[in-house]
Parts: sequence; C-alpha cells; structure tokens
Amino acid sequence: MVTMLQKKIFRDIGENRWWFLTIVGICTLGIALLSGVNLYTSTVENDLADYYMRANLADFWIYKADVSESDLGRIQTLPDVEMVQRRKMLEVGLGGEIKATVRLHATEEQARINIPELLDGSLLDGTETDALLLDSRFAEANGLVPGDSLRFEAGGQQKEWLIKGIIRDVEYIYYAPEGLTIPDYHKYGFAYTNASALPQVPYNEMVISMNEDAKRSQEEITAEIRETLPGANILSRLHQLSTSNIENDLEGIKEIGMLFPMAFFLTAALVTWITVGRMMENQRQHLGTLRFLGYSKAEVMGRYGLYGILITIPSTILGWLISRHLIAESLYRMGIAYYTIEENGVDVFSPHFFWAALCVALVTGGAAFLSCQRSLKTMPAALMRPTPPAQGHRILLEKISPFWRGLSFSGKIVTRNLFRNKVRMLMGLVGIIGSTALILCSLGLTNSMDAMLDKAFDETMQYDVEIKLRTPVPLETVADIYEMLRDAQSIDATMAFSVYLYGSNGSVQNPYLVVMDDQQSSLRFMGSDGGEVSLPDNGAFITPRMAKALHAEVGDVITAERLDGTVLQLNVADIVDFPVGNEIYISRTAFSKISSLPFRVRTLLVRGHDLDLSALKDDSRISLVETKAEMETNELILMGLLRSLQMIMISFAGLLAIAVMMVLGQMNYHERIRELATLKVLGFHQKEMERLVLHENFWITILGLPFGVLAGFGLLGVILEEATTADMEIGLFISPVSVAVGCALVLVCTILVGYMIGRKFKSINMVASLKSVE
Amino acid sequence: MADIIFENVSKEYRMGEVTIYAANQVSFQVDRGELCIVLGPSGAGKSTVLNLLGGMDTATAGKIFFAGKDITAMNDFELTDYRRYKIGFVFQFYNLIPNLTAAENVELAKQVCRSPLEPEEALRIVGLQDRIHNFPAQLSGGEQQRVAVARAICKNPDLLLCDEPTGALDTETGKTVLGVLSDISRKMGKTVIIVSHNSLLAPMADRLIEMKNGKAVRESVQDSPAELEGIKW
Repeated sequence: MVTMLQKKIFRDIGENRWWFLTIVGICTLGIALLSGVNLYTSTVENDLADYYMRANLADFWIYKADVSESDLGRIQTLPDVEMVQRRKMLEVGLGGEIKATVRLHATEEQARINIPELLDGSLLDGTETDALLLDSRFAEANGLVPGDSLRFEAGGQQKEWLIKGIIRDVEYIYYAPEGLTIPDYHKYGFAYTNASALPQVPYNEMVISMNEDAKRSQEEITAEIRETLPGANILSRLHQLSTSNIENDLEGIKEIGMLFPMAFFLTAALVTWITVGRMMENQRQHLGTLRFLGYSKAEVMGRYGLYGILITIPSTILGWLISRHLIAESLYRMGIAYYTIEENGVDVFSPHFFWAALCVALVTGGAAFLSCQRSLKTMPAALMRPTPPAQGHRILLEKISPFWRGLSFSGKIVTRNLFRNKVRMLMGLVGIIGSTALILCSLGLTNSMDAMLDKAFDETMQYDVEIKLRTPVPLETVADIYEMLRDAQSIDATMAFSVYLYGSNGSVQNPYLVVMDDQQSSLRFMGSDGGEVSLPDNGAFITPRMAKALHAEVGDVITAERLDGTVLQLNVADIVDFPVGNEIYISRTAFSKISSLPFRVRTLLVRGHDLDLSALKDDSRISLVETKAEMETNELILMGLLRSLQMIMISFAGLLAIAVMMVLGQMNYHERIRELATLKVLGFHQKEMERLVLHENFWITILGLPFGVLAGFGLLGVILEEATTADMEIGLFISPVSVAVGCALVLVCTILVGYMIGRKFKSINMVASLKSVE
Repeated sequence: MADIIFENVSKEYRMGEVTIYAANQVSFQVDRGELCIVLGPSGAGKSTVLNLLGGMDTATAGKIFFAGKDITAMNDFELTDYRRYKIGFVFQFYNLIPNLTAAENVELAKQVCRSPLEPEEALRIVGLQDRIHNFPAQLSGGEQQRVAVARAICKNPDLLLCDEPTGALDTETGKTVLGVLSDISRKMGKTVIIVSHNSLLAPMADRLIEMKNGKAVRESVQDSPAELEGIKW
C-alpha cells in the first residue's frame, strides 16, 4: 500500500517532472553509451571466441619446405600439444575472366584444426583429385556457386577444378593479404582440397592446437618448436594475418569504447550527484515537518531513498533499450560486415550494463541518502525554518573597479548571482566542461586520424604505386617489369621479411625488416632531430613506437631473429618519424654488412603519374598493383566504423550538453521563482527577465568553454595514447574549425534551453509565488 | 471622478464541484491621492482585491477601472506595462533580491520605468540614506520593508499597493513604515492602498473598506483621519 509519504514523493516528482525527467535522461545516456559500445565489442569477442573454439583455431602455424611424418611425430610429442596436422599450401593465380590469387590448402584427411564450415554444396569425401571447397566471400564476389569450375595450374598441373562446396574458415575471418588494409574478395580467396589432388606438392605447413590449460608462454613454446624443427618459420595467433588484424581492430574500438563513455559517465554522474543533492536540500522544510510529526530518521531516509530507485529503474530500462537496439546494433551491423563469421546478433547484456546501472543507483541513491542524512542531523525546529537565503556580499571582481564600473546593471546582477550560488555554477561548469570536452574529443578523433593519413600519404609516402610480386625473386628477373615502367620517375626495389625483435626490457616485437635501395626516394624519413635523413650505410631506422616498446635508443644494438631462426644484429642508426607502419628500414649496403642473405625483390615502389598499369595487373608474377589513391580509399573505408562511433559520441555529448543546461535552467527557475515573480510584479517583461536570468547560463557556458577545450585535448590525448596500436602514430590534433564547431554547438544548446526555460516565465503565478513565506 | 472603480468584481476558484469565491461581487471606489485601508480578517479577500487591482491576477467577473481604463480588459503584455508604469507594490515579506544592495534593489525598479526617482532620493524619503550600500541581510526587518517601499516609490507610480506592510514588524518599526506610506499619500499626492487585518490602523485612513467572506461589507470616508502618533497596537 502506498503511504502518504510515498504519495508526497510521487507528487513532488510530478510537480518537478521536467527536472526529474532530465536527470533520468542524463542517467539513461550514461548507461546507454557505456554499455552500448562495450556490448558491441563483447558481442564480437564472444562470437569470435565461440568460433575459435568450435572450429578449433590453430595456436601455431609452422612453415617448412618439406614436413615429414617424423616432423609431425616430433611436434606431436611436445608438451601441451593437443593436436597437430600437416597441410600442403600454395598460392595459385587464376587466369581467364577472374584474375585473382587463391590460397589453396590440401589435407590428407578431414581438417581437425581450422575446421572449414560448409555453407553450401557438400564436403569433400577424401578421394576427389579435381574438386575443392571455395571461400564463400570470394565465391560471392565472383558469382561462383557449387557445380561451377575454376581452371588453374597447381603443382605443375593445369586442370579444371570443380567447386563442390562453399565454405568459411576460422583462419580467414578477416583476410587482407599482401599488406591490404581491407579485404578484396574479388582478388583474394582461399580454398581447400584433398592432399591427393596435389601429388607434386610437398607438405609445407603444420597447424598446431595446444591444450587449453597450457601454462607456458608463446615465446617458450616457439623456442621449443624451433629447437625441434630448426629453420622452420613459426607464426602464433599474435602474428597470423586474420587474428592479429581482428585483435588490432577490436583493441582500438574497445579502448575508445571504454575511455570516452567513462568520461561521459563521470560527467553525468557528477551532474546527477549535485542535482539530486540539491533536490533533497530543497525538501529541507518538508523533512522538518515529517520529523515534527514523529517520523524517525530511518523512516524518512528510507522513503527519500525512493528518489534513487525512481531514477534508476527508468534509466536502466531506457539505457538498456538504447544501448542494445541503437548503439550496439548499429555498430554491429557495420562492424560485422568486415568479418566472415556467422551473424548471431547482438548479445542481450554485457557486464558493463550492470556496472553502469549499479553506478547510477549508487550515485542517485547515495546523493539522496547523504543529503537527507545531512539535513536530518539538524533539529526538527531548525529544519522547519527556511534556510536563510544566500547572503549578498561583494565579490572579488567588484574590487577591480574599471571592470565592475564597465558592467551594466544587469551584468552586475548576473555576475553576483553566478558567484553567490557556487553549487549551481559548479554543476553548470562540470556539465559544460564535460560536454565540450566530449564533443571536441569526438571531432578531434577524426581530425587526428585525417592528419595522420595526410601525413602518411602526402609526406612520408612519396611513391604513387605499389607492386607486389607473388614470390621474392632476384632483381635481374624483373628487368622486363622495369622496362614496362620506363615512364616512371623512379622505381625502388624492396625486400621484406618478418622478424622477431627482442628488447632489453624482455619485450618481443614482430615487425618486417624492410631492405631498400640505398638511394631510394619512395619513403621520406624524418630523423629524431626533425630533419630529413637518408638510409645509412650502417644500421637501421626504427619508429618511436618500436623504440619505446623495446626501450631502445640510437646507437643500441638489437637482436632480430627471422622466422627460420637466423639471427641478425641491428644497430639503431636513428629513430624516425613514420606515421603508418611500425617496421624496421635498412639500406641494401647496411643489410649486406650484417647478413649474407641475397637481396630478393618482393615489392616495387614506383613514382610517376599516368602510368599504364594494365599489363602489370595481368602479369602472373604480380599479386598486387595498388595506387596510393586506392590505399587511401581503403584506409577511409576501414575507418567507417570509427566514424559511426564518432557520430554516436558527438550526438551523446550534444544531448548531455542540452540535458545539463536543462537541469541548470530548471534549477535556476525553481529556486528563484520568488525572485522572478518579484521582477514580474515590478513590471519586467518576459524578454527582460529572460535576459537577466538566462544570461547566467550563457556566462557559465562562456566560462566553461575554455576549460572544456583544454579537457577535450586532454581526453583525446589519453584516448590516442591508449587506443592506437603500434602500427600507427596518431598525433593529437583538433582543428580550429572543430574547436569552433564544438563550442558553437554547446552555445547553441545553451541558447536553445534558455529559450525553452524562458517560455516558462510566462506561466509564473505572481500571487502564488509570493504568497509563500520566505 | 474616482481614480479606482471596482464594479461587481468576483474571483472564483473551482475545486471539482465546489466553487470558492475569493472575491464576491466587490464594488467600491477610491479617489486620487487618498490613503485607503482595506480591513478584514484572514480569508476575507483583501489580498485578492489588491492583486486584482495590481494586475497580478485576473477577475472572473466584473470590471476594474484605474484612471478611466478598464484593467480587466487588458492582455498580459498590457498588464505588464500597467504594473511597470502605474503600480508600486509593497509586500508583507519584502521580497527584496538578497544579493543586491539597498540601492541596487531600488535601481532594479528604476530600470523599467519612464520617469523614476533616483534610488538615493527614494531611499532618503524612507530615511535610509545611510544604508544604501547594505545588503538585505545586513538590514533589520523594518529597514528591509522601507527598502521595499523605496523600491515601490522609486518607480514614481500613480498607485501604491501595500499588502500587510507591517505584518512582520513590531509596533515601533511598523509605525515608521506607516509614516512613510502616509507621507507618500499626503505629501506626494499618490494614491496608497493598504491591506491589513489590523483594525487599529483604521483611524489613519481617508477611506476605509471593510471586507468579510469575499465581500466588501462597508465603505466609509473619514474627513479627519487620525495622526499616526495616536495609533497603538
């Protein structure tokens, strides 16, 4: 049964419904943003984890020229190895209408690790020698279905291959080979066939799955495998193309999805705390009456705790609806499109939702409870007396005579009021600083990324076309390609291979060692002193991120280990500014001094415009021809998800600004209604009252904006520091236009709310407002 | 001709099925420059009449004329202008703005009218020339009420409406305030209407209107109102 006290509280809420609803709105936004973004990332992580488990994703991939039965046996006996399977792997170029590269895996029995999932057609029965299972994305992009056939040469044999089934595979969830930033399903795909279909091709790949409870580190296991199979190339999940790409993508979103909503939540919580506390203080005389009537402190506090519950319940429900059906759903639709994985839809909850709801309950309930408790410490008789109005006193600014004299009369009133009511000002400042910082941080995120891309594409990358060869070859064998590119301004040949780098601090990095022509002009390196530097004859260049990760300085010698176990000693010649990529760059001369490995070209970097690239695209030795413009477009596509997230962030920050100004305006209105009624009696017109009173909000906004801008830079700095991967150097940059737009947006919110609150002035009942005893 | 005319003015509130008359067919007249006291017990409808006359509330029926103009026919904007240029209000609980000094509270009123008195002059009239830079919290109740009077007269209004101006004051302080109001009527020629439940104030009025249960039950004119010194309560 509803008690009279509860009835009173419900009626109080009804009377102050806009104030109450705004607080519910702020809490809803906080819960929605914090749990929405995290619900997306946790859904994708859960989907991936399930898929990895279900399809038994390998923990290690080992590449060796000829994997024998005994190699297989030796690996199988290593501790913690659960399962091992050998495969034949080769890349085949399709001719004819479909010009593409397909990575073909062949197993001697059904795959038990990286188990392909059949989507259409049927599986291989183990006996076919001219049938395959084809990548679903590749098939879809090229209009292929089961029953169609592909013609290509594999293992020295040119033949027709029947597509028996369409599959997806756990090691190809995100397949962007050859340094592509986003998958190109027209050009790249994979397929499975029986080992018997490729009799000429030796087994050259092993996949290993480890026991789930294996305690040893990846480095320890890698070392053990290397000892067992000297000269083999070993990849772990950290370095496998698909898993590492996914990991990097999710990491960025996850960090942004945590830091930004946390900052948002903090602002919302502070505003809520102050406002609910204030609502309770305004109940002071009522508390006195209840105590006077004989209610115990516990009874009163218990009932007023209702405020917390009544705010938390609708905020939690609305917050969940928005987080699940708006934020997580829209991010999921966009994000999952990059991955070849079963779409199971967004999970119902993430743990963050419960944390956020709990925080809202603690903030609202806590503020109501503590404020109530503070008031109840006073004797009932004192509570029954109204709080004396804040005493008028001179403020510091009045001592600055020229300033004070220069203010209009209304300016003086507004200024005094601002400093008289510090809590109101503090709440307004917190809200404005928070909202401005959040808006600028969202805008700045794009600015910083755009600046990074501009720097990478306009300053660092001086080449116009990248040509990737299918396999590394001696330079002299590509003389005809040089001839085809005779109109180019310059062509730089590069060799690159993956290495492990061991830092003095124990950290292990896995970059490419890029060997370039001594006089290359494709990449512009900016040295640690800020000037342009050329690749030296001794030593290599590393990026600041690599230097930081390895605790390396100029002059240090770092140990690099090829995937086949060959060890190289690299002298750090300089730490160069390089925005995209985290590789090691060395000249051919310097490389020849530390290694006897021959120089074999893998990539050609070409400078020149209007080059005829059509012949190159048809060349079977070449796997990729990509122009700088295509690379830039692909980068922008890749950032699509981040941009969606950014739009959500801006919208929420704007809504927070509106909500904060609404609360502030409502507070101003309710607490000063007697003053406003007096002005109305004196004959002030509505517009004059609006000017006088709402200028306060305007000035709070003006005062808060500079701090908001500073906080925005700070927040973005923290996010960039935490959310960017080692592959990118994203400098902190918020453009002046973004600063102007962000500040203008907050100001517009203030003016809009001012207008809305101003309309309420019309309804002030002078008689009723002035009748109550002060 | 009378400056203020109430013609069968009613103000009713509907509470479901029940209709409550705060003012019921009230009629009276007040001449220019008179000091008029509206007397009656609590709930008699005195403040309602004052609020209707001051344009702070609207009548349900009847007509109210001030200086020949029907204020019951005015819209919200016209009523604001009416309060702005014609009326000065004094309340029982002062309603001063706490973070403005005495002078600034008065200046607040000065800002919105056409031919105001200087705030210092208005404060001098109420005897507060030495307290002009004090904030309300630094003034006694009587002083705060005098600031409220100064704020009202600073607007140089044609009509000063006072709702229980001495209700929160002791006798001596109340007398000071009443003296000021009397001077404003007698020396400055302004029409002053005081609402009070205190019948001991009756002798000082030029015109006395007694109210009961929302009705004006008696109206009398006193040709020789008593001096303030002789009044006690």
